[in-house]
Amino acid sequence: MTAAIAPTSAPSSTPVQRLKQRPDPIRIAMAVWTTLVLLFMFIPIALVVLHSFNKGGSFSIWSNATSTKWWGELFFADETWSLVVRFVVIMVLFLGVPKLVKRVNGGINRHVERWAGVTGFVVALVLNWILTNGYRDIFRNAGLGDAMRNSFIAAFGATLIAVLIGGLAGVGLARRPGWWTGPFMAVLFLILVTPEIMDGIALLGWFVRIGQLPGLGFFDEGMVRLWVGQSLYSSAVVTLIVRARLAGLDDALEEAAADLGATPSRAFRQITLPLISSALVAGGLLSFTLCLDNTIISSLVSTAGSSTYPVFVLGAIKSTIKPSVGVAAVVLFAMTIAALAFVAVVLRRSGDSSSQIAATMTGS
Amino acid sequence: MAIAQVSSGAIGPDKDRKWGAPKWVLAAPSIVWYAAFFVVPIVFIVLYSFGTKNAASTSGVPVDLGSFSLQNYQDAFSDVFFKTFRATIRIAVTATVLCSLIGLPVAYFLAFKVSEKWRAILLAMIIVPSFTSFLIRTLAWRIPLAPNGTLSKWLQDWGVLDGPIQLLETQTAVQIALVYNYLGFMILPLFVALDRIEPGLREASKDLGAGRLTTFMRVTFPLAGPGIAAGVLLTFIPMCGDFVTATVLGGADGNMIGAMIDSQFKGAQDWPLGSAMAVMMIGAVLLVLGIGYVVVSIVRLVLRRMRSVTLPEVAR
Repeated sequence: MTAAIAPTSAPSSTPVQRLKQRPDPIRIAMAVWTTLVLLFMFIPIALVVLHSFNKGGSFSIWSNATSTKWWGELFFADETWSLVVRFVVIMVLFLGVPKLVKRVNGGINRHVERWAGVTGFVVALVLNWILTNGYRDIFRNAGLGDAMRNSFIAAFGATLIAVLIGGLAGVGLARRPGWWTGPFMAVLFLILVTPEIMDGIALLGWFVRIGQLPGLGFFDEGMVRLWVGQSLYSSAVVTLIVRARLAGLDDALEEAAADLGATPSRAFRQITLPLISSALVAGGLLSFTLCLDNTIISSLVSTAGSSTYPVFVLGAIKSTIKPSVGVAAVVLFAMTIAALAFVAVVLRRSGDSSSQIAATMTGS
Repeated sequence: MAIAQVSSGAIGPDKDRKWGAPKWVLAAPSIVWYAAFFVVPIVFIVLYSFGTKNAASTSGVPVDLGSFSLQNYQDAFSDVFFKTFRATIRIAVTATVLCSLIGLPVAYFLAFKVSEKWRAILLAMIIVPSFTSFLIRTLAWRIPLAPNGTLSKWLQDWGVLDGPIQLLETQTAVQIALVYNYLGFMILPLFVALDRIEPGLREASKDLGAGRLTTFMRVTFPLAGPGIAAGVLLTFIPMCGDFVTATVLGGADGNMIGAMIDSQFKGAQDWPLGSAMAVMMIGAVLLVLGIGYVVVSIVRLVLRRMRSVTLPEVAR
């Protein structure tokens, strides 16, 4: 039985190998189609990058000449370059020194090795914050600069909320399921599929209303509004990623820790947290890119002083868009790619295949 | 194994005492957060939709909730709104169908026809543009669609067009950009669903003599059902509420519900009307999804009836 099937099933089971024997017209057609679709997806983005070097004064009309003048219009070159240099130097120090010590010394504390990169990043972030007056000094175009700055602060705060509440809820769903799991998952699903405009208008009125209650006035402040608004969707994403990560691991380790007398909080810190750390980092970065990009909720809830980059651009849409908007877009685009690449690396290291990474990205 | 079971059984009650807290306690922050900033605010939108406009209201929100009225829903059925409403649903349905038609071959190619290395590269190339700023991707379309832009000039020089491209501020522009913006969110769930299909099932179909088309129609496509459903949810619903694309590219001609709701809250300050529109939008979305679900279920039932095979009785 098996022997009879083997000759026919073996070649068809590996389409890639079969192609080498004879070209498969359907496969070629699909390859061509996929290429066209990818071109379709990339050409508009490539145009934005190109137009950020436009010499003319309009974002959408190409002037047949390249120039970096719009980069200079958004950034002070000196301040920006020194910021970049400081960043690179600090990261090289924090990543390189432990490696050097490890080589010379023959070993290194694994906590030091593990946290060096993150610590370096935080140090670079904080140091540059202090040296550039909260990053204000690198922007020549104050309006656009403030918008970009607000985008980062909003995304950072919302991501912090999302990782905290989403991480806890994800652990709860995977490890302490019960009657509450069904209704809770239903709410998560609703959060993921509700059109953003609904959340936006609902929060707009709600912030005004609760902002009048004694002691809750801070909820009506621009940045807090953005944190809350952007945290809804991203916390649901973090919850699902953490839950998926833990669902793939049985709870023998936590059980063992409990059997050995670890208190719940200690078992959580020493067993569960390391298990979900990759999911938290991936979920956090994903949440950060989603928040950075959030347009609809942000444009409804933000106030005059707290416009993020998308809100700023949306507000400028009726007038002529300057190429400097494209410059800011390119910077944000580069950061999104960096964050996504980091997500891929983190998930890869924790053993995910590219298919599983794609599944994580769509929250399934 | 037996020992493990015994020991965990013995330690069970003790462990429960240690954990003590109710099972949902870890999710408590989320529960409070979602109740306070998702459920309750949306309940208020439903309430506002039955209220009346009052700019001088003391609650800070320009709505009077004192009298229950259906006036907003009557107003929302006005000609202008209803025209936009129908246009939005039509544009969103078309865009969803186009996304799945364009995306399915790509997802199929990624799932079955490439090596693991190329799959990773191609997936990255789909994920990166999909997660790039939505607004920028929409704005990017102003470049090729600009009437006095480079593409427009080329097409006129080559004689493809008689005059400049006249697509900005039209429904067509919104349609193109919607397909573009949401294509990745259709391809990815489709790919995930196709990728999860057991290779054995497709092989079995081929070994049993089914051709490629039959295998696709009767094995692969039905098994991709969850992916298609996820893709539709991830694209159709946000499309219906999207006002960015319409605002950036649509103009007056390409208006969508989202933009109208937005203007009720920001410009016109008629919150009850905007709320009624939002509630109706959700209703329409659910209606369309419900109709889609019923149609798919009926088609499946009919196909199953038509294709059902009665196996001959075999003496055991």
